[in-house]
Amino acid sequence: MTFPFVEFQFTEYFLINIVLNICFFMMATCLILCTYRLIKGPTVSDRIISGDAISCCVMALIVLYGVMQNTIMYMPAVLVTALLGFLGMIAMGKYITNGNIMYPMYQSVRTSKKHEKEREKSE
Amino acid sequence: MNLGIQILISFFLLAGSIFFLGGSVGLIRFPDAYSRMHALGKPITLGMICYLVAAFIFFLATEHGFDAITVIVLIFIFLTSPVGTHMIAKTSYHRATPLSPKTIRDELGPVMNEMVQSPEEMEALEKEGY
Repeated sequence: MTFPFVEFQFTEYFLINIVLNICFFMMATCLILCTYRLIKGPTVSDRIISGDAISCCVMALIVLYGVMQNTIMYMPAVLVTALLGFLGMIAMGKYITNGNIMYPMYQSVRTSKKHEKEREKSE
Repeated sequence: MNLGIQILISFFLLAGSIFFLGGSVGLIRFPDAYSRMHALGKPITLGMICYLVAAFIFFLATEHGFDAITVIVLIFIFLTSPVGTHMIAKTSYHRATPLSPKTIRDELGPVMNEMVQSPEEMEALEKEGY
Protein backbone atom coordinates (compact mmCIF):
# COMPACT_ATOMS: atom_id res chain seq x y z
CA MET A 1 0.00 0.00 0.00
CA THR A 2 1.49 3.32 -1.05
CA PHE A 3 0.66 6.98 -1.14
CA PRO A 4 -1.89 7.49 -3.93
CA PHE A 5 0.22 9.71 -6.18
CA VAL A 6 3.54 7.89 -5.86
CA GLU A 7 4.23 4.32 -6.84
CA PHE A 8 7.42 3.64 -4.88
CA GLN A 9 7.54 1.02 -2.13
CA PHE A 10 10.21 2.36 0.22
CA THR A 11 10.12 0.30 3.43
CA GLU A 12 8.26 -2.70 4.77
CA TYR A 13 6.29 -0.55 7.25
CA PHE A 14 3.28 0.90 5.52
CA LEU A 15 2.71 4.00 7.69
CA ILE A 16 6.36 5.13 7.41
CA ASN A 17 6.07 4.47 3.70
CA ILE A 18 3.26 7.00 3.29
CA VAL A 19 5.02 9.56 5.47
CA LEU A 20 8.30 9.19 3.56
CA ASN A 21 6.51 9.96 0.30
CA ILE A 22 5.07 13.16 1.77
CA CYS A 23 8.40 14.15 3.36
CA PHE A 24 10.41 13.76 0.16
CA PHE A 25 7.89 15.94 -1.68
CA MET A 26 7.99 18.66 1.01
CA MET A 27 11.80 18.66 1.21
CA ALA A 28 12.03 19.11 -2.56
CA THR A 29 9.70 22.09 -2.24
CA CYS A 30 11.90 23.58 0.52
CA LEU A 31 15.00 23.13 -1.62
CA ILE A 32 13.35 24.98 -4.53
CA LEU A 33 12.29 27.86 -2.26
CA CYS A 34 15.80 28.21 -0.76
CA THR A 35 17.35 28.14 -4.24
CA TYR A 36 15.01 30.96 -5.29
CA ARG A 37 16.28 33.10 -2.39
CA LEU A 38 19.88 32.14 -3.19
CA ILE A 39 19.51 33.41 -6.77
CA LYS A 40 17.37 36.48 -6.12
CA GLY A 41 18.64 37.64 -2.69
CA PRO A 42 19.38 41.38 -2.80
CA THR A 43 22.30 41.32 -0.31
CA VAL A 44 25.22 39.01 0.40
CA SER A 45 23.78 38.08 3.80
CA ASP A 46 20.66 36.63 2.17
CA ARG A 47 22.80 34.41 -0.01
CA ILE A 48 24.81 33.13 2.96
CA ILE A 49 21.61 32.44 4.92
CA SER A 50 20.00 30.56 2.06
CA GLY A 51 23.22 28.58 1.55
CA ASP A 52 23.02 27.37 5.14
CA ALA A 53 19.33 26.57 4.69
CA ILE A 54 20.21 24.53 1.60
CA SER A 55 22.82 22.58 3.56
CA CYS A 56 20.16 21.85 6.21
CA CYS A 57 17.76 20.63 3.48
CA VAL A 58 20.46 18.35 2.05
CA MET A 59 21.10 16.92 5.52
CA ALA A 60 17.39 16.22 5.94
CA LEU A 61 17.27 14.49 2.54
CA ILE A 62 20.24 12.28 3.49
CA VAL A 63 18.52 11.34 6.77
CA LEU A 64 15.35 10.46 4.85
CA TYR A 65 17.36 8.38 2.39
CA GLY A 66 18.99 6.47 5.26
CA VAL A 67 15.59 5.72 6.78
CA MET A 68 14.32 4.66 3.35
CA GLN A 69 17.20 2.25 2.77
CA ASN A 70 17.08 1.02 6.40
CA THR A 71 20.80 1.63 6.97
CA ILE A 72 22.98 3.79 9.21
CA MET A 73 25.68 4.05 6.57
CA TYR A 74 24.72 7.62 5.57
CA MET A 75 24.83 9.25 9.01
CA PRO A 76 28.56 10.24 8.78
CA ALA A 77 27.65 12.08 5.58
CA VAL A 78 25.12 14.08 7.59
CA LEU A 79 27.83 14.91 10.15
CA VAL A 80 30.24 16.10 7.44
CA THR A 81 27.53 18.21 5.78
CA ALA A 82 26.69 19.87 9.12
CA LEU A 83 30.36 20.67 9.74
CA LEU A 84 30.91 22.09 6.26
CA GLY A 85 27.76 24.20 6.44
CA PHE A 86 28.74 25.74 9.78
CA LEU A 87 32.37 26.38 8.78
CA GLY A 88 31.35 27.85 5.43
CA MET A 89 28.93 30.21 7.15
CA ILE A 90 31.58 31.42 9.65
CA ALA A 91 34.27 31.80 6.99
CA MET A 92 31.98 33.75 4.64
CA GLY A 93 30.94 36.02 7.50
CA LYS A 94 34.52 36.87 8.39
CA TYR A 95 35.50 37.23 4.74
CA ILE A 96 32.83 39.70 3.74
CA THR A 97 33.53 41.79 6.86
CA ASN A 98 37.33 41.98 6.80
CA GLY A 99 38.42 40.92 3.34
CA ASN A 100 40.39 38.15 4.99
CA ILE A 101 39.70 35.22 7.30
CA MET A 102 42.69 34.82 9.61
CA TYR A 103 43.15 38.32 11.05
CA PRO A 104 40.97 40.23 13.55
CA MET A 105 38.51 42.92 12.62
CA TYR A 106 40.10 46.29 11.79
CA GLN A 107 37.30 48.70 11.00
CA SER A 108 33.63 48.88 10.37
CA VAL A 109 32.02 49.95 7.11
CA ARG A 110 29.32 51.81 9.00
CA THR A 111 30.35 55.39 9.91
CA SER A 112 28.54 57.83 12.14
CA LYS A 113 26.73 60.89 10.82
CA LYS A 114 28.76 63.10 13.19
CA HIS A 115 32.02 61.98 11.62
CA GLU A 116 30.63 62.46 8.14
CA LYS A 117 29.72 66.09 9.00
CA GLU A 118 33.21 66.73 10.41
CA ARG A 119 34.70 65.36 7.22
CA GLU A 120 32.54 67.61 5.05
CA LYS A 121 33.57 70.66 7.12
CA SER A 122 37.26 69.84 6.89
CA GLU A 123 37.01 69.34 3.14
CA MET B 1 8.12 -2.65 14.99
CA ASN B 2 4.57 -2.20 16.23
CA LEU B 3 2.10 0.48 15.20
CA GLY B 4 2.79 2.81 18.17
CA ILE B 5 6.44 3.30 17.26
CA GLN B 6 5.47 3.83 13.62
CA ILE B 7 3.02 6.54 14.66
CA LEU B 8 5.73 8.19 16.82
CA ILE B 9 8.26 8.20 13.95
CA SER B 10 5.62 9.49 11.52
CA PHE B 11 4.73 12.29 13.91
CA PHE B 12 8.35 13.45 14.18
CA LEU B 13 8.91 13.24 10.42
CA LEU B 14 5.75 15.21 9.63
CA ALA B 15 6.54 17.83 12.30
CA GLY B 16 10.05 18.26 10.87
CA SER B 17 8.67 18.64 7.34
CA ILE B 18 6.16 21.27 8.43
CA PHE B 19 8.86 23.20 10.30
CA PHE B 20 11.13 23.07 7.26
CA LEU B 21 8.36 24.25 4.96
CA GLY B 22 7.48 27.11 7.31
CA GLY B 23 11.10 28.19 7.52
CA SER B 24 11.52 28.14 3.76
CA VAL B 25 8.35 30.16 3.19
CA GLY B 26 9.63 32.64 5.79
CA LEU B 27 12.92 32.80 3.92
CA ILE B 28 10.96 33.88 0.84
CA ARG B 29 8.45 36.25 2.39
CA PHE B 30 10.24 38.14 5.20
CA PRO B 31 11.18 41.74 4.29
CA ASP B 32 14.89 42.08 5.20
CA ALA B 33 17.96 39.97 5.94
CA TYR B 34 17.64 40.12 9.73
CA SER B 35 14.15 38.66 9.82
CA ARG B 36 15.25 36.01 7.32
CA MET B 37 17.90 35.07 9.87
CA HIS B 38 15.04 34.45 12.27
CA ALA B 39 13.49 32.09 9.72
CA LEU B 40 16.79 30.22 9.42
CA GLY B 41 17.70 30.10 13.09
CA LYS B 42 14.57 28.73 14.70
CA PRO B 43 12.25 26.70 12.41
CA ILE B 44 14.86 25.03 10.22
CA THR B 45 17.01 24.00 13.21
CA LEU B 46 13.95 22.62 14.99
CA GLY B 47 12.92 20.73 11.84
CA MET B 48 16.38 19.21 11.57
CA ILE B 49 16.24 18.14 15.24
CA CYS B 50 12.82 16.51 14.66
CA TYR B 51 14.22 14.59 11.67
CA LEU B 52 17.23 13.35 13.65
CA VAL B 53 15.04 12.25 16.58
CA ALA B 54 12.83 10.33 14.13
CA ALA B 55 15.87 8.66 12.57
CA PHE B 56 17.23 7.81 16.03
CA ILE B 57 13.95 6.15 17.07
CA PHE B 58 13.77 4.30 13.75
CA PHE B 59 17.29 2.90 14.08
CA LEU B 60 16.61 2.01 17.73
CA ALA B 61 13.47 0.10 16.80
CA THR B 62 15.05 -1.82 13.91
CA GLU B 63 18.04 -4.14 14.11
CA HIS B 64 20.68 -1.35 14.14
CA GLY B 65 20.30 -0.42 17.79
CA PHE B 66 21.79 2.68 19.40
CA ASP B 67 23.30 5.01 16.75
CA ALA B 68 25.75 7.44 18.36
CA ILE B 69 26.43 9.52 15.23
CA THR B 70 22.82 10.70 15.12
CA VAL B 71 23.12 11.96 18.70
CA ILE B 72 26.42 13.68 17.88
CA VAL B 73 24.90 15.44 14.86
CA LEU B 74 21.90 16.51 16.96
CA ILE B 75 24.09 18.07 19.67
CA PHE B 76 26.32 19.69 17.04
CA ILE B 77 23.41 21.34 15.24
CA PHE B 78 21.88 22.41 18.53
CA LEU B 79 25.12 24.17 19.49
CA THR B 80 26.35 25.65 16.20
CA SER B 81 23.20 27.02 14.56
CA PRO B 82 22.77 30.00 16.97
CA VAL B 83 26.49 30.76 16.75
CA GLY B 84 26.40 30.98 12.96
CA THR B 85 23.21 33.02 12.93
CA HIS B 86 24.56 35.58 15.41
CA MET B 87 27.80 35.78 13.44
CA ILE B 88 25.96 36.57 10.21
CA ALA B 89 23.74 39.09 11.99
CA LYS B 90 26.78 40.98 13.33
CA THR B 91 28.45 40.81 9.93
CA SER B 92 25.37 42.20 8.19
CA TYR B 93 25.20 45.10 10.62
CA HIS B 94 28.89 45.89 10.10
CA ARG B 95 28.32 45.92 6.35
CA ALA B 96 25.38 48.35 6.82
CA THR B 97 22.83 46.01 5.30
CA PRO B 98 19.61 48.06 5.04
CA LEU B 99 16.91 47.50 7.63
CA SER B 100 13.29 47.08 6.64
CA PRO B 101 11.25 50.33 6.73
CA LYS B 102 8.88 48.56 9.16
CA THR B 103 11.64 48.37 11.79
CA ILE B 104 10.49 50.06 15.00
CA ARG B 105 13.71 50.44 16.98
CA ASP B 106 17.45 50.07 16.23
CA GLU B 107 19.18 49.66 19.57
CA LEU B 108 22.60 48.75 18.21
CA GLY B 109 23.00 51.89 16.05
CA PRO B 110 24.15 54.41 18.72
CA VAL B 111 26.52 51.87 20.28
CA MET B 112 28.07 51.12 16.91
CA ASN B 113 28.51 54.81 16.11
CA GLU B 114 30.53 55.31 19.31
CA MET B 115 32.76 52.36 18.42
CA VAL B 116 33.78 53.76 15.02
CA GLN B 117 37.26 55.27 14.80
CA SER B 118 37.88 58.95 14.21
CA PRO B 119 38.25 60.15 10.58
CA GLU B 120 42.04 60.54 10.85
CA GLU B 121 42.45 56.95 12.01
CA MET B 122 40.18 55.73 9.24
CA GLU B 123 42.15 57.66 6.59
CA ALA B 124 45.36 56.18 7.97
CA LEU B 125 43.84 52.72 7.76
CA GLU B 126 42.69 53.39 4.20
CA LYS B 127 46.21 54.41 3.22
CA GLU B 128 47.51 51.14 4.65
CA GLY B 129 45.07 49.30 2.43
CA TYR B 130 42.41 47.99 4.84
